[in-house]
Amino acid sequence: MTGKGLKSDFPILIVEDSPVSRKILEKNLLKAGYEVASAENGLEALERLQSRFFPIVLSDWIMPEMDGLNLCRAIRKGEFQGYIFIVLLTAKDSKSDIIAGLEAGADDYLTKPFHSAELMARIQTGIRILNLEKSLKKANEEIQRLSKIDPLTGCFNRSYLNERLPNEILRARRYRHPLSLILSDIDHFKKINDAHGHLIGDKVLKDYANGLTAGVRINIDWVVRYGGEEFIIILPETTFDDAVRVAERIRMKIEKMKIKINGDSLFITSSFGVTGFDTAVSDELISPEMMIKRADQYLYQAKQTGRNRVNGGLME
Amino acid sequence: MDFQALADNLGFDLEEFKELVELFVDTGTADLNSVFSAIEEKDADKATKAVHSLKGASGNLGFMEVHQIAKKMEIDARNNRLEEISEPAKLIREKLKAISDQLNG
Repeated sequence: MTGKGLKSDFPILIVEDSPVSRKILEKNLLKAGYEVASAENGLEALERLQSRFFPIVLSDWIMPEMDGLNLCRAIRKGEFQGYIFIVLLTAKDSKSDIIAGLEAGADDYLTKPFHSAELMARIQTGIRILNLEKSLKKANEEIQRLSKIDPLTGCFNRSYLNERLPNEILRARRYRHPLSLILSDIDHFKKINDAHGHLIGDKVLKDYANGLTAGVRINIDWVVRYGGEEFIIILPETTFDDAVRVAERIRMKIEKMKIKINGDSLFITSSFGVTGFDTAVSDELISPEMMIKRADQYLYQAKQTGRNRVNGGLME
Repeated sequence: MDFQALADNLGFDLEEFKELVELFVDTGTADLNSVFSAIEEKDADKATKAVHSLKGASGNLGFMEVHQIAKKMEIDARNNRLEEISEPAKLIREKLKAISDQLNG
């Protein structure tokens, strides 16, 4: 077949009350290499669509329980994982019937008795449109993903932090859960850049970011490139004491981490400012800005007291 | 009736086609019984549905004579002229019998 996607990617749901017509459709489509399932009326079709997604629905018009028009309307009102391409099969061929069918949400129609080559052509049209929808969706998801990500390190970017941290804090407060924040940066990063150049500096940033990400829980904690060589880690459901332990563990790992550059190895250290809240901390002391500011103060302290350190304190 | 030609038109082999014809004879007979009882009960809606089913199935298989008769019957049934559909229904019964005989012959 031409175009992207296999026929097996597009299972077809046949909705037809007449056993003979249903069988003819099934046989035709199976022969052409499609996967098919059948329902005897609109209601049964909707039930099937609830338990499994069919991107193509081929429906008769006149059926008991729920006819083809109402099925079209119900499908268009429903929420499905993707677009459903609907072809109405109908003996009705007056212009006003066809318009009613299209207005109810059908994408195409086929007048009965149908010709098998015409049926296949209509389904190919559907697949073309479904493929367009698929690639559009994929592009959209990619744009969505990229808009949150720092391209160099693969960590979340600052605008994502601005968007998500307020909600994360609200949720923690509502359910009376603790939440902690770690602000961290590479010690003497400017010297590394000056001595080895920006390309090596980028490599150091990447390895450092990977080290941070590897040190926290996947899909729970999240790491943000806050700016330059500064990173923020948000740890939901984590007490301040536990966050300090996490930071200490990461600090030791970073310190031992070999960064390979041109056959040589480079070592770095990093400093950490940790803060967090539990239910004992009152609401007015907590905001994204205040948390970052507090963590920054502890990070500054860590720098002042020798670097390669973790400093911190509860929000107060 | 040339089953092979009808099968070719649908893109099926003869055995597959016969399977469909068997299904058609079964459901067609049931539809027809439904038509006769609908006439007695003066239930135009029931008659319309049964004739519609006959019309669709026969048309899809290429039994155009049955299809044409059913098409006219559907219009009559829909317009509540049930007295008009009794004779054509008998005619369809004969045609179904002929199809069934050929199938089993």
